[in-house]
Amino acid sequence: MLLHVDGVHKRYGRRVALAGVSLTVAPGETVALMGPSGCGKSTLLRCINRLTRWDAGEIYFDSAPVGAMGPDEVRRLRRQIGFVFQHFHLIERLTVLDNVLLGLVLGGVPKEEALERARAALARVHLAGEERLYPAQLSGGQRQRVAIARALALEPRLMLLDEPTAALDPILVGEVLDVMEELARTRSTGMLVVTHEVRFAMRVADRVVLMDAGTVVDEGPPEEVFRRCRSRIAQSYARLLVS
Amino acid sequence: MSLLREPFWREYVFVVALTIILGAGCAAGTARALDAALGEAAHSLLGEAGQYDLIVHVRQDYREVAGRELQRLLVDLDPEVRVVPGVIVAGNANFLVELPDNLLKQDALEDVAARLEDVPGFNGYTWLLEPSLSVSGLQPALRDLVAREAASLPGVRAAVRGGSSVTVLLEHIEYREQVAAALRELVERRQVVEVRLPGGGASAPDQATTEATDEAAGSAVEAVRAALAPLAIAELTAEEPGPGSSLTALRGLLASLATRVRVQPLPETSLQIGDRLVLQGSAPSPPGPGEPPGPEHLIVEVVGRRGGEALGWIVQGDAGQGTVQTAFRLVNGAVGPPAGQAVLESPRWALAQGLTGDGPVGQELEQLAQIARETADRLGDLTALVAPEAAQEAIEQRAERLARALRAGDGASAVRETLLGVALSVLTRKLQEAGGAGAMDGAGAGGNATVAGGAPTGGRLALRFDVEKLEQLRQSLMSLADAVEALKDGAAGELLAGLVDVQQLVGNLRDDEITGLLRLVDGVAGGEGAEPRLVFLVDDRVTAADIEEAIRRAAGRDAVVVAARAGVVNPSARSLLIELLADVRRSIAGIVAVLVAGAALVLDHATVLAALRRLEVPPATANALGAGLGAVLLGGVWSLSGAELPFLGPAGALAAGAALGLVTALLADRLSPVRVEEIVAGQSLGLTNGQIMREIVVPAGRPGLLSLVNRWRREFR
Repeated sequence: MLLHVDGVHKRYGRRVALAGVSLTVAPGETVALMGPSGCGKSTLLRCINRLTRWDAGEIYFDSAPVGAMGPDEVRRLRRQIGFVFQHFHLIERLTVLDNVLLGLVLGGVPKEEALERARAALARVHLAGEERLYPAQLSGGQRQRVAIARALALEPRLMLLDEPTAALDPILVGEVLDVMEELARTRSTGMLVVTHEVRFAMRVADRVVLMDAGTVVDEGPPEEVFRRCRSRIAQSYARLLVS
Repeated sequence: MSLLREPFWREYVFVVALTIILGAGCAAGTARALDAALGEAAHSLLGEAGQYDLIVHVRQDYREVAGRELQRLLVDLDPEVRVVPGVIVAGNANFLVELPDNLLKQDALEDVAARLEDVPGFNGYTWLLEPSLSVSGLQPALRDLVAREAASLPGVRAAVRGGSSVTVLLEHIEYREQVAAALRELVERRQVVEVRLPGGGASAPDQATTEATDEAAGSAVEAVRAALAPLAIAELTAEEPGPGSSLTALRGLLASLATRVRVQPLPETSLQIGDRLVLQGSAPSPPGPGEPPGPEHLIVEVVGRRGGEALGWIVQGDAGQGTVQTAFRLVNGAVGPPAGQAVLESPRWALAQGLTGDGPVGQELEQLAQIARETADRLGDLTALVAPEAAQEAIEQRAERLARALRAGDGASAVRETLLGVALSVLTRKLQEAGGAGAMDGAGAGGNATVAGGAPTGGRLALRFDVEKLEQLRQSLMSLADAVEALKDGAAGELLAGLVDVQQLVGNLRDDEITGLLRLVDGVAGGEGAEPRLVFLVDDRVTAADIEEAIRRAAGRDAVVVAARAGVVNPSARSLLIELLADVRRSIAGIVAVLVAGAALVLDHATVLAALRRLEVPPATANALGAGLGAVLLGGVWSLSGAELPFLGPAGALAAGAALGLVTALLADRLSPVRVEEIVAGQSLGLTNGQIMREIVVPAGRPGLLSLVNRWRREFR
């Protein structure tokens, strides 16, 4: 198993963000993590990448306990886990190409190779001709694709995508979903995608994990989860699917 | 220390060190540049060290003529004297004077100072003698003592008196410490104690009462002397007559001009000191009981008793030729019952009669001339009454010159002019002081304003003393001085002319004006004539309480004791200026150090401190780091630049730096906001904190030394 989240708890003061969440992601598998806002999806992703420490439970990446990792190991972990944020988190003063190169070059990849990998990543997200532009010169969809390319360039074993289309104009959502779908179909990397896009989940995800109030309420293949509707959340998504 | 494994943090430490070095250089450089500029100004003002010996200040509008006259006066003294025009500062033109070696002696230097008086627009002088020391803030008698003792010290070439200070010219610079120590021993570790004996005598109008009073006061003075002999190092009163003697002479002059009133009381009538009596005076009719006295009536105040008679002063009106009149009591502003027969004797009238041939020139005139001579001889002392500021040096030197001229019998007109100038200056100043706040409004020679002051002795008479009366006194003194000069020259014609002048001018003085002057003299001298004063030099361990107790035990009476440090030893004027410049330099360095540290904290370190909070560094740690950083920066710049500010030493600088750093840490997010999402992006890419700082945080921060150094090492430019 590439990722194994085992009974993770996290509180922010009195508020419970995660209440014993457990899930797994296999290599090359695409998992859609769905649930209402504030149910703990983004917190879980940040815990997996050790951007946030959790209170109890454990997260294993490639069978290694993430919680016990030292700073160097954490940095190595992060280079194996690409993270795409809802609000892109691009470095504004750097060009598109430099944004993609940043993790590679500073991670020790030789410059020539880094350049090759960066350009390839940009090509995969259909931004091959835009590498000299700055983030401020791009549309929201293009920015998110740069962010995806930046994560992809690291050739991660797992991609964590935190509502990558939530901040986009509906017209631009499609281009990002297309890129994500293409990535998923290659099965080159495991993907844990936080999304509210039910059709995207139905079409692309191998499994769907539904969360509510910090716990996993249902999981399984999307068709099965939305058909059996064992939870209130599943019923809501199923209605969206029908409509 | 694990942080230092990353190149960025090593460079950060380097930037802190570089900031300290550059900041110190900047602070010290700025301070030295200013120092050089000020030094250049000082050089143009004072010349090179030892180049000039004296700087003479004259009013700017007299510059041309003053320069010529100064040159003439000093070259006349010695052809090798060189006078160089200096800069104009605050309305004063300055002339630098280089004296030949043979003039660098005490007498010659004091003679030079005296000659400066004759320079038109003269406004003071400053000795630039090198190497030298000065002792300032000296009591007049102590000044001369210090000058004498300083002149006898080994290594001292001359000790020149000037105002309240003594400038001590040294043989060589190597004597400076030794002489300074000796002078400190003499003045700074000692104090001048003035003992006043209140109620030593009444304000007696005539010779007999004065003598009786003096006898009583004399025994008290001797008792005090005996009591303080074991405590005192020296008695300064005896060293040189103080201002009291001169005022006594002046007072004697006025008293000799005043009409003497003797009242024989009626049987069973008692007259007390302070009682007021109304006499007919020049009014056509005697005072009417129950009515207020008229302007032509005389009002006499009883100021003493002798035998069965009461002695008084005329406080309103003029007695004219003198007569015998009935005296009525003055009760609640109205004429009361008869109190006795008053006999009025006017010496002025007798003098005038004698001079016009109606009476003998006689003894009174001789006495008057004698008093005038004494007054003139002691006018030098009068200036000691004046506050010992440098501005008063002119008056004093004028007085000294007068004294010399009188002794030598030269320059009659110069003598008269000087005499009048001194007397008028001193009296005007003392009038201002006696009048108190708001009492005097421009009472210059040509002014019309009045001076109002309470009569100090009686305290009951509201005295109004206007400029016209001052002018009358001036006229009288002028004629008296002329008379003195004429007597000294033995020229019969001049003597006669002088006496005629005296007769005319003395006749212009009214009795109530003379009484006002007498009380004024008593008042400005703090009871002069009534309060004997003794001045002692004592060790600084002796307290005023010790002295009061000793007097109480020995003399059986209380005394007013005023103690003050005897004086202060200073370096020469140039050394003071150099010290002042050094202070300015250190202060400027201090200010620049604070500015440099503040700028570095805001421009460089606020960015880092703000980012540290996003890199999982606890806020308390970030604040402590900020405080430490500030202390290191300001402390380092401070100590390396030699900065110094009042009340802020090196420890204070560290504390101030820590406070600055702490404030910077607390306000870091506002001073230099960082983009949190970019930091998180860097973390998610597996970058180290150093890489995040170098490639993401610092480039987006404020431009400063850190961003400059960081630019060279950045991968992504």
